[in-house]
Amino acid sequence: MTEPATVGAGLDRGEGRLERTGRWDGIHGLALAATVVAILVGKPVAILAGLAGVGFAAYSRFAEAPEPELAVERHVSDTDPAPGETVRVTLTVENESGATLPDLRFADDVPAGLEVVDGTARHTTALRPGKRASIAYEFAAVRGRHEFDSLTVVTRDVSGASRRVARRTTDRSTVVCRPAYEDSSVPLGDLATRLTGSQPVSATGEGLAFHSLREYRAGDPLGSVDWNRFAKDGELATRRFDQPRTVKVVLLVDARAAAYVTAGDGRPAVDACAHAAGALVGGLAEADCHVGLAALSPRECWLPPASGRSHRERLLDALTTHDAFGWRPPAATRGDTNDADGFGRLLTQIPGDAQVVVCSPVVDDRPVEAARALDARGHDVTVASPDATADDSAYRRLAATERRVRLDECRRAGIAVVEWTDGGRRPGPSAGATAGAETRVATDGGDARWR
Amino acid sequence: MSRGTDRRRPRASHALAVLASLAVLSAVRGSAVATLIGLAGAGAVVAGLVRRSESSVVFGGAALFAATVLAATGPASAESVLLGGFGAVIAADLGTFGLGIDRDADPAVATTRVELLHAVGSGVVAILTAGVGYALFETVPSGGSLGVVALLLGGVVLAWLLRE
Repeated sequence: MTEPATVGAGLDRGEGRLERTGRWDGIHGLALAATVVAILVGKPVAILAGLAGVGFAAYSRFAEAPEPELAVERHVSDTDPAPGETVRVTLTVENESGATLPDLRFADDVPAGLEVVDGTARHTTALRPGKRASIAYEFAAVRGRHEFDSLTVVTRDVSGASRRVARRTTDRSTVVCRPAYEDSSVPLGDLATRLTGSQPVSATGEGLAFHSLREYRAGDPLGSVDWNRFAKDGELATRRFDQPRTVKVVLLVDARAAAYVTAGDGRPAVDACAHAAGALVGGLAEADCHVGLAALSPRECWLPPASGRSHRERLLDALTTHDAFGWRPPAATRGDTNDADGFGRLLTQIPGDAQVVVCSPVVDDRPVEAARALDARGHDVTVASPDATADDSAYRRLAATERRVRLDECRRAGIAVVEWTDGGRRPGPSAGATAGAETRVATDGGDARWR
Repeated sequence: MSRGTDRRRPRASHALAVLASLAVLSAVRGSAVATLIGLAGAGAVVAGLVRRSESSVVFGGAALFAATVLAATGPASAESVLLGGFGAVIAADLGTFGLGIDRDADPAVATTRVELLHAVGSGVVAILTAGVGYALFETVPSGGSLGVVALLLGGVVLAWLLRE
């Protein structure tokens, strides 16, 4: 009478299936056992006990889980919340089947990353025709665009022998949570474009700050001659000045599946990397750098370096809403595995005169390989690494040590490393919490939820 | 908060499963051995409900059924056998159903309607099947040949049900 493990896993929106629950499996055996005993001991009355097996076996074959016709209404209290604000979702389901649904179980497909902090996103009830059932729950807003567009529904026949599982498409409600990224920067290298700008680099030319003296060459402007030196030594020398240049910086955010590790609070390291990149966008743009954005991920994201307020907003919008930095890890890629994370493509896209800041938790060797490859191609590379490790178990301490070893490897290769101290930690009651993470509300509709 | 809690809501299915177990115990009380087995079965049902173990509930139901069959080999009446057999199945059915509800529904959600609908369905099936069986058993005069006919009839029905 027990049931198989889970249902609803692997269903796409609009899909459904009818299946046997298996809860009455073996019920025939009761009839068989009672009949055998009755024959062996010659007591016909014993066969009456076996009637239970016969009756319920027939009962389990009698009906089939009904196909529900449901009208679904969803109301979201705030579609543009700030991080940490609680948003209330009210979901109402009306039975339009024309028949009673004896066992209706439904769950709102809460988008990945959102944590229900009050109420429940699922319900179990019996629903007569025309009747409604409602649920209400609240979640704490986090960075990203979150689409509410489906509902997992399970109906059973009255015996519970069969169930119909479906993921129903509903009207879409979109919640966009835009964090206020702090402006921050990292030390940059000397690689610059040939355009005059405001970044002090090793280039010399027509600037204001004194750089060095060199021997006078014919054609040097008289204004650059160091006359004091000529008066003192009788030698002509030309003063050279720093020439600020425009610097291009590409923020390369590690958004591979490996970067979705968490330190126990349910927040993937990719979120910390996105916050780091968001802070760098502001800080570098304030320093008049041309900033671009790329994702080291199977999900392509590439915004070439540029400047200006609208470009800056485009970058921050991408970090907030682009699928590459979403809360669900990218699916495993098939076929071409040589460029599974898109790095080969990025090598052709990143301008040769751009510096690269790799935002990565460095949980494996791939970011180090990428940084060294970029360094070998002449880019000035900086690794900005939020720490996603923890020290509450031997395995995690080992992972932290491995990360430190990888960062040291970068330093030995001449790559600047910045240990990123995080902003944008998940707000609300779960911040810093480690307990209960394993019981987090399922965020992938239909997966491993109903049994 | 809906996560990380271990709150439980007393559910109708739990109470009905325990009641069904007690009914089986009352039906098999004529046999000391059957009573002992029945007590073990009822204990397993209660323990399964407390510890949220479906397998324990199912085991308890099977033990209750075994106690009924054992009692039927003694001086038990037809009514007692029917009460015991159907009570055992209903105890396991409602127990596992209640545990399934516990698993799928938040403790704050009232699920009495679903549970009662399921219990009524199982109860109706039990009453109808037991009624038909009892009527057949009582109307047919006792005798060796008729007993064999009844057994054959049961076997035919069983074979039909098992064909899938």
